[in-house]
Amino acid sequence: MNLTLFSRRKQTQNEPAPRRSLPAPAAPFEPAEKPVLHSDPLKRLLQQERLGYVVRHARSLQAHPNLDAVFQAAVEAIDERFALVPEGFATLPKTVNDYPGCPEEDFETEAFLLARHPITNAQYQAFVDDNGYDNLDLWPQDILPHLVDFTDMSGTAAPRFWRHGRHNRHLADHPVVGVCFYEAAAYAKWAGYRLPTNVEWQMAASWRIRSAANTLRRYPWGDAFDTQKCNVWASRIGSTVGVNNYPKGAAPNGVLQMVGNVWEWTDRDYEPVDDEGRQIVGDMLMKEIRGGAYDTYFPSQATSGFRSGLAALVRAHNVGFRCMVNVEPEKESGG
Amino acid sequence: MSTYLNQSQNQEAECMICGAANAGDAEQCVECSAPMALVHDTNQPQGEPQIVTILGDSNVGKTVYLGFLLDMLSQQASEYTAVPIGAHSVNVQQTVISHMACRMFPPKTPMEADQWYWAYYQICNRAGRHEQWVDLVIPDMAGESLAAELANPKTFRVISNLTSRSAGILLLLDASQAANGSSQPDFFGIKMLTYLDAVNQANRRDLVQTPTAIVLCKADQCPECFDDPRRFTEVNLSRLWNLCQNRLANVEFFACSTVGALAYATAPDEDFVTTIPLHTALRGVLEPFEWIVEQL
Amino acid sequence: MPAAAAPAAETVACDQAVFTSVRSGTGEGYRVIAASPGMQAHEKVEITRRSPSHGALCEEDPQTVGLEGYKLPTGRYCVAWCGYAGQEHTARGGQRVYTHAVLLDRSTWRQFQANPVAVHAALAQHIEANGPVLKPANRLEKITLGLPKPATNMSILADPSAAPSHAIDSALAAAADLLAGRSLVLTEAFGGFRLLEKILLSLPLETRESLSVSVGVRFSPSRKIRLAIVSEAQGDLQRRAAGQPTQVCQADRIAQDRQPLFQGWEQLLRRWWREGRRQDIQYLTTDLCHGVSCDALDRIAGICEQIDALDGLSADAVRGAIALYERARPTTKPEQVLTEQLLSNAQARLTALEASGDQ
Repeated sequence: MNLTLFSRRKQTQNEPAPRRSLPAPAAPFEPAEKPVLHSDPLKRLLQQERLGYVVRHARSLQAHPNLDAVFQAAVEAIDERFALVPEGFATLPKTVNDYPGCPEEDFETEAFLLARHPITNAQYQAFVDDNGYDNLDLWPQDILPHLVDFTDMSGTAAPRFWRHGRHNRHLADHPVVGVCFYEAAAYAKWAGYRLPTNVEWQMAASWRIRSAANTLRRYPWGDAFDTQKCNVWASRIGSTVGVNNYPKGAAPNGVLQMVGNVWEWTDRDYEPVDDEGRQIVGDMLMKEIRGGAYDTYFPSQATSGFRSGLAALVRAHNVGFRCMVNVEPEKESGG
Repeated sequence: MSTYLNQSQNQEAECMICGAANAGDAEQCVECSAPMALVHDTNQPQGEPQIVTILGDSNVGKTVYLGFLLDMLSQQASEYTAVPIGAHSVNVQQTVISHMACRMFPPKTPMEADQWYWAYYQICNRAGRHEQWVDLVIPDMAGESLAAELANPKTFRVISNLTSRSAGILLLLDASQAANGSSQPDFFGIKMLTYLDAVNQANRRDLVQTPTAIVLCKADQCPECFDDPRRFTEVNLSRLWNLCQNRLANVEFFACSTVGALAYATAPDEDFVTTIPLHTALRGVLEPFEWIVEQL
Repeated sequence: MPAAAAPAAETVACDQAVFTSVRSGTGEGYRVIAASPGMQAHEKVEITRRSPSHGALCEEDPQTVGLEGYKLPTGRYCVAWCGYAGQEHTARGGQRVYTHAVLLDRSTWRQFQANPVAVHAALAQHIEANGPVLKPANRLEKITLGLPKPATNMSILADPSAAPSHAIDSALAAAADLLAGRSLVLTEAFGGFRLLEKILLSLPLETRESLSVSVGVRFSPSRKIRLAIVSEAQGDLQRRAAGQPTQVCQADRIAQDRQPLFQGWEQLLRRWWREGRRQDIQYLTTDLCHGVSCDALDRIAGICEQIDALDGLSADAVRGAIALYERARPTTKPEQVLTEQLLSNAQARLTALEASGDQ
């Protein structure tokens, strides 16, 4: 693959939405149109942005006449949509509160590719249109009985706030929300990616690369909180914004909105202890979420190091996800 | 400061809540324990402040709601500007914010009225053509005191005095309990409204005119609340719904949550569970209050 | 800590109630969770109003114990044992305050000589033996308390050690303020139970048996307690009590820089305390001084002083005292009894003096 490291893409990056004193009024719901899919299955994969799938399954697609061109296009698209996160470190507190002297655990991370922005409604639409909810290979066995609950407001298998299996076209470039951890993982698997672990996520947000300096950032852009660089409660937007907003809040490699807009699922169970060593549990299995969201009130809860959790089956209004790809196959850093 | 001035001037003062005469240097009313600072701080040309009362059962989240509400208003979160009058008014938001930021719920509100938080704020609607300031007093009462008052009226006279003088009521109910099939929130709600009816109404045939916001709290645990709070109330709090339709002239329904996720800490040798608010996710906190203020 | 109750001569059954915070199907939080059937609605309301709730005990030590005593609207007297019973179920900072109350009718209260500390000690034994009641109960049986022997009802009566003089002065000053109708908060008081007993013993029974008291429970104007003994510091309390009809004093300084309100009465009791005549104090305040107003107390004290002084008087002086008190017209029963006692003692003294040749 021919990747451009740490590139700050010159894309259509919107300026942050103007500060309002009132939350933005909810966009009227207009269902997104169903795209016409390419008849060529390989090109269809590209159209659906299943780029990781193309790269991973290149060998099994050898017989296809367009494979080389499609493969090249997939690689270029990955280069455009993902950014390299170099090798680094992450230190995770073991307690629910991160206080000086609390027990911690250190991890090393390998280099990996992280999506520049969370998965959008438009991107997730492709998964829904491809009957991802019916593809049992994408779901863990013990979750299959819960699939019937993963419906939208009209009862169709889709994220929670959609209708009749369509997203609101006014929110096409907003992060998809109303998806539980398993839906996020299923999409990632379908597209040929995976969810980052909590350690990988933290490394990407804090930019604690392996160097003699061993520095890290409280926020992806630096150490000072700034409502011009992220969408949290203090930004007074009151809802999600497009994934290309807040370019000034990008990490050094151009990854946007690691902090604010929506929380992001990570592929790790959330099992801290409290200050007295008691195990902390939820009503059901919890997965770790990171980054804060548009309704996160405390800036301290929207930092690169803040850990929180949510029951894995919850389809919250403010939780989305982003995907990653291993630089080397089947290698992940865990915490 | 104003207490000191009144003391030096040897002025008696009448309690704003119950009307009892108090010495000029009294910190709290001798009868109802309301802070006398409310009286001293309200010697303003605007006139007597209006009382907005937050009511709810024990552990429904009144203190957390009030703390976040005041903190948001203090930061000009909506059309309203809010200015605290007196340092004591900031106590509740400071306590709530400092605890919630550390993933702890604030301490339980004691039943003793002299231990309650009282917030006195001047509120202004910045979106209006003309600036109009409204003085609001909002006490944070203990749910157990309310429950005791409902069971036996006049147990805590300060409550009957407060509710009879309230210009607006926010009735907080535990939506998650209701969604789980418990009738406790429903019964508390109808008891509370019946009590308000009795306290306020000289003529039982008249409808209760006091603007009443029914706030379904902890709605993060039952998100369908946000979709249609009225419908949720009708289905899960049907007794309350019926009473609202029949006795309240001015009522609205809201859903609200402050916590994004809850977790629990426990040990095998302990018989209690510590509930931990993992992170905040404020939704629907301002809307009920804004509606009340619009009705004043 | 209160002294353990003396071995019971007999027992008495009393209504009881428990006020604490539990979560159950019928409710949540601080409330009366269990009560015996004889409890009336007014009494339940009063217990709800007065009982300490979250964070209301002075100390945070889990072994902390407090006391409350007050008269109920029905005429019965309530004595409450207050302590901690584990973590409050919401675990929102602080322990669960547990209040176990017993209700005594007048005759039972008098059997305890209107001493809430003795009731508290008996109740403490019950709680220690049976544990706290932490589940709501529709019906709680009456509680059986052991009645202490009257001679040792007050633990300080049985205590041979002399009370330090400043403690006596504080107790007497507090008692005088209470007799004058004032409400008091004694701050920075340790050994509150002992101090309470001293104060109570210095009061006539009828004042004692309707007095509302607390030890180890934070001062709160809403509880309307006339005598609160707390370990809290003076400063913050002084401010909170400003403008209230309550005097806040440091326990060991209440006697300083003040004019005695009932000079004769205070002087007598101070002398008797210092001489260790606790049984005499008990007889005077508990058995004798019934139905007297506060202004009679100085006169009563005067007669007692005269009785004590007889042993040092000459025959002429004794004759003078006899003549004086034979003409006296006592207006109260105690004065009458004491006058008769004085005359009897004086006659015996005179006879003894004449027999020894002292004319």
